[in-house]
Amino acid sequence: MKGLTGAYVPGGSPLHRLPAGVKLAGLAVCCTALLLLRPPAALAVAAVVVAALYAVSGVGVTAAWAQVRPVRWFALALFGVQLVVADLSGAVSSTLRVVLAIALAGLVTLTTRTADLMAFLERCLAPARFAGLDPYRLSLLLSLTLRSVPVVAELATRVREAQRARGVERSPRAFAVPLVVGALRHADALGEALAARGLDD
Amino acid sequence: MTSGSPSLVVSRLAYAYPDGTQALYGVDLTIRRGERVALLGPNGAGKTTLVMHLNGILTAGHGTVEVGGLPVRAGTLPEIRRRVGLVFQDPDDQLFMPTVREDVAFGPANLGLRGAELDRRVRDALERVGMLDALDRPPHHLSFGQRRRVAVATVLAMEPEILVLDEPSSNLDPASRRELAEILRSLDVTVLMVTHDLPYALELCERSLVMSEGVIAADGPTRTLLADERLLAEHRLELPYGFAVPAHPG
Repeated sequence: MKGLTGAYVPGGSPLHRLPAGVKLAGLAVCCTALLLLRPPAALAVAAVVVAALYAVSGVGVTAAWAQVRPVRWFALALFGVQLVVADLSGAVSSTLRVVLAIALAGLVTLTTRTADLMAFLERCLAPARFAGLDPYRLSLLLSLTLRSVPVVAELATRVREAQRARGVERSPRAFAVPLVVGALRHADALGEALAARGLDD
Repeated sequence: MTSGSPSLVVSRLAYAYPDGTQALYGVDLTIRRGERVALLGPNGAGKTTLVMHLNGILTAGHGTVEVGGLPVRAGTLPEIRRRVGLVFQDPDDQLFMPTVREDVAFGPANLGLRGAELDRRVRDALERVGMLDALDRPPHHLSFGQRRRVAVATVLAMEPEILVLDEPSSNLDPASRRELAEILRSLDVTVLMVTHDLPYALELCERSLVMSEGVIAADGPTRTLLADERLLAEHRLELPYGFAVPAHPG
């Protein structure tokens, strides 16, 4: 959840000042380059570059770690599998490749306001107009999705706490029913709130 | 906007839900510009149903609703929704954008405002609720009381004719409750406030309406209504323990 919303770390670094589009394009180029880099030495250089970019952004070690932390088990599993099917150097480079790509994506999230990302996306989606889709709608849809993550997460926590309070540790039904009902209720009210503020008029 | 007309006129409003449950049986009420009015009544009295009619989320089965002289019907909905500012009970239902700034800008942007004018509206609305500092914060990082104030700002940014609040004091700690009262009192706007919090109604609203079983059962000065023990008992309204309202202050 933290990786999706509220991750933006305010700052005035050159990375913060770059337009969202440039950062996203840069991310695409860098990830492609990561895939193409073969020698482990080149990947080591890439790792140094990523670390340097983080240093330039000034987001701090905690925020940086928070971006990579969620994939630590996945990276470990990947390393293990690669070690079996390939060799040590292969395992190191493919794991490094994935972790660096995630770190770079995380850096974009950390230095870009959601609003700027959305605005950029809205511009990119402009051609969708010709297919009869409203780019503003699409970008609003994405905003709402992002905003719903913490709401549903909080709802899930509340439901789980309510279960525990009644002595149920694991019951899919006791968890799913209130969660779905709560999410639907929220969706209903959200629809009314959107209408009340003039969407669809 | 015709300046002489009342903020809100509801006449002979009746409504039955699609399942046949009759919720409103002919509601009549007029709220003059600048008044602050409390709508009191037990659960299931029809208060929420009435509120949903004020900005056309529900449409009248019978009767009419006029806001600032403009009748609520399909063709007038965009203007009606600007004129009626609805503040939901749960701020999480109302704050749906990634930052406070975008949330407050959402309504006015839907009205077509852009650039400097939009920015002015956003800042002005947040200033009025004392939340300007939170401009770039995500709503879910704010306290409940702060979220409710931002919810009020999202509506103020539309420069509404009438502010309609659903249980504004619910779930607030005493300090947040008082702060919100001060904010509401400082606003130069017509207010209709749906509440079970009778002391809050007394504090903020000169006039109250008692709704019961789908009709307006009483309409008068809040102090007089709350001093009428028989009226309160008839409509399942109760003052908090240890709280009494003398009919005449002093």
